[in-house]
Amino acid sequence: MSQETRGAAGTHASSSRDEKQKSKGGKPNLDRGLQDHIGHKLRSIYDEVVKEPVPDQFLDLLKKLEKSETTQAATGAGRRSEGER
Amino acid sequence: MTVSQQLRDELIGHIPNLRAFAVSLCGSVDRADDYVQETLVKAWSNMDSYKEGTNMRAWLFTILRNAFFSDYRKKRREVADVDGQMAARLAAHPEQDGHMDLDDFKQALQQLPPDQREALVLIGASGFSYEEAAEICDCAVGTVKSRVNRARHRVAEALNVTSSQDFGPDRTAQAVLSITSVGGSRSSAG
Repeated sequence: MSQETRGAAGTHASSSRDEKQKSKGGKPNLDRGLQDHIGHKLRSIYDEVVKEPVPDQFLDLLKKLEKSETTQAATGAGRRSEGER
Repeated sequence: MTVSQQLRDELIGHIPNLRAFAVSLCGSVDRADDYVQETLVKAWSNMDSYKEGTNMRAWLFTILRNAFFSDYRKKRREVADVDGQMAARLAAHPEQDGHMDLDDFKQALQQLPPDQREALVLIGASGFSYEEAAEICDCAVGTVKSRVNRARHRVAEALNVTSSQDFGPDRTAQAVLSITSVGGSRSSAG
């Protein structure tokens, strides 16, 4: 029950030592309050983008894709070059 | 195989989240929208490999992040310190949204290694479970957890959270101080 080794693992603010410990036994989890604060900021910047209306370029793209599908289906021009390259 | 109206509508419904995820990964709206564009094209032409009723959002996110990381790995081979360059670029052109601390946060986010940034966003913002995130990233759940944890630590460090001035109440500052001195008496010389 050596507290010395337990104490050493998560004490250093610098991340260089912890980076080497890739697998289990890395840093302890960040304080709950900080986690929440970071999560809150993260969601603020993320939601900024989610709230934006879908840009026209994507709606136009999907329309184009739909159109070319119907065209291909109608003319049968889709797959003739498969296997040629 | 034509894509049904229903699938098309569902696809459109995921675009806002897909964009938000892409912006977080890239740090730039323009680059993000390029990836979203590419993702939509791939999704459309591979719609027959999407199983209806399964998690379309996760499927789309996977397509997008695979393209991002593929480019990222290529770039790394060509240019050293890709992350540092990106962060420097962001620092030179701060977004004028009037929120100083959000700007700092955005910068801190972009300074993270992309795998950590991705994990943090998937778990903390996109609302995926650890299992879903692990599938998207094609790694173990434990790996996602440790990336999220490291990301949080790095962000906190980058924001210089060592005093209460950023976060107000003393209680939080004490909590911060307590995590940097676990084990009490054995604090090392700085």
